Amino acid sequence: MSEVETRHVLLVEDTLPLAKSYIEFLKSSPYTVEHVETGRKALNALKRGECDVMLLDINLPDMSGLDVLARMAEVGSTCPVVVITAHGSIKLAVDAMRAGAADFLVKPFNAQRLKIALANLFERLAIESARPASRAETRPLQPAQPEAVTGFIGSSPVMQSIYRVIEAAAPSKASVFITGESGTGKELTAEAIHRAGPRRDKPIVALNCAAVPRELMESEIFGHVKGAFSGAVTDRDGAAALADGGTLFLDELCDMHLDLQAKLLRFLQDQSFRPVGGTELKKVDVRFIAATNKEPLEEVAEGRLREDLYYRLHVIPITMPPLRERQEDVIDIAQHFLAAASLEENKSFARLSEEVKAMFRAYNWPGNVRQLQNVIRNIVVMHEGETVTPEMLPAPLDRVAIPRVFKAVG
Amino acid sequence: MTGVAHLASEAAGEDTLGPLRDHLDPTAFREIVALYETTVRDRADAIARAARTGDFDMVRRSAHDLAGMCGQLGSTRATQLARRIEGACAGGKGHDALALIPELAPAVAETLRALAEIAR
Repeated sequence: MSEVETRHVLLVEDTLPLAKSYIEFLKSSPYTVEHVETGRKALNALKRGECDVMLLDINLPDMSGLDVLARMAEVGSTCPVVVITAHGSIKLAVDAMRAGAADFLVKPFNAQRLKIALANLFERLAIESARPASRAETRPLQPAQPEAVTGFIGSSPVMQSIYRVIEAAAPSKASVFITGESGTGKELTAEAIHRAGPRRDKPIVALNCAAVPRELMESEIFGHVKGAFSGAVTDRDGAAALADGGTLFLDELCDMHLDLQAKLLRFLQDQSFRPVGGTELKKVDVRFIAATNKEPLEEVAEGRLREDLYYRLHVIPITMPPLRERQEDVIDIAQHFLAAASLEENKSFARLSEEVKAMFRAYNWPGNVRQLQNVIRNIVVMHEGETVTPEMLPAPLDRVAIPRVFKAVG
Repeated sequence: MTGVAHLASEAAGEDTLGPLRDHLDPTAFREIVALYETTVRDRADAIARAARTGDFDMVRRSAHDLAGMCGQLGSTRATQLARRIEGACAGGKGHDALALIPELAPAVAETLRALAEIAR
């Protein structure tokens, strides 16, 4: 029999019946719970250091939960925190996450939700602790490992951190939730996780929840049987069946209709589903990766994303940085696209002029890597030469001021 | 509908005390229900007392506690009223809070009646 590690939970909740309920929720689980009613007592308990996770109510009699978060460093605690907040106080939860909380729970919640939040947290921590370099490590980061994380270009610290999460997450079956602006490489990240993991020989099936009409989406995910609806002339497997043994990548998850989110949640929970019009329950083994260019907590607050689905999927979060936050990578990426496009278009472009490099670094790239790729393609198709010069830049790059140092030299 | 079924039905599918009863021995379950009864009553009384003396900070804190407990019990009406009272106090609208407090008593009484049935 495998031995289950017992975790110590510090519960900070001043309303006694609620505290007792939460303690009972965790009674049959591998958790021991210490309950305190004030922020001051919580800080004292943290000082003693016997805490694997703190469940922290935001509204305490002597100080707010946000104050407790802010003062954790003073008592030398790095204990992960799940904040408990009232319904309608998502903004406080977001503030708490920004202040360092690992997750949040909205009252009221039941035993299952509490256990899932804790299980997700510990799974994420285990994966993070297995990384070769921790965030606290101060030695220089190793250079990019394109052979390990295929498809990425860039050696900026922020991308090094992304590569490490990908490498650490790949062997696990834990769900991954990728956020980031359009064009930052969310799909590439999903593919990299799949390719680097034990499911690499099985399919990764991508489904764009924003691109498929609502009425077809259920069939796209779960498939259908013949006669399920007009046009269903044969049985057809959906993404869930096609991804069996592999990975199901749900892009633009926040655009999925709420009714279908409920069905997806059930599928996530027990990995079984019924095709549209079918009666037989099908069981599969699928790893889930979801992505969105929206802020998922805001989507939860606005009622467009089910909170329980968010909890289920948000085990390993990855936030893709916009290109403007990795300026040191812009030239490497541009050079890569230039070489590739030149080869494809049978052109002789080999380099960017220093002025163009400076302009690329100065531009804020609202469309991110995808925009950079399109700009390079445009230049290669429309012009001839070996060096890309400022005159070749398409709009809106042609309006970027050349940084002064190059004007003076020129 | 009575008892757990009644409370849970108001909670939009969120079953709260039901699962608790399922994995607790009857004595422990009755104890926790009794604790809810006592504390809900106490906070409702505290709101009424504090309202009489104009102590809106106490009204706000007690309403916050009450909303949390009634929410966990799935008692929607009491939860919503308590949240509105809390919000009015937090927004400096004591007059609005005072106007809502008379509505709170029957909602809390309804919650307590349901709890008493559960405890039987």
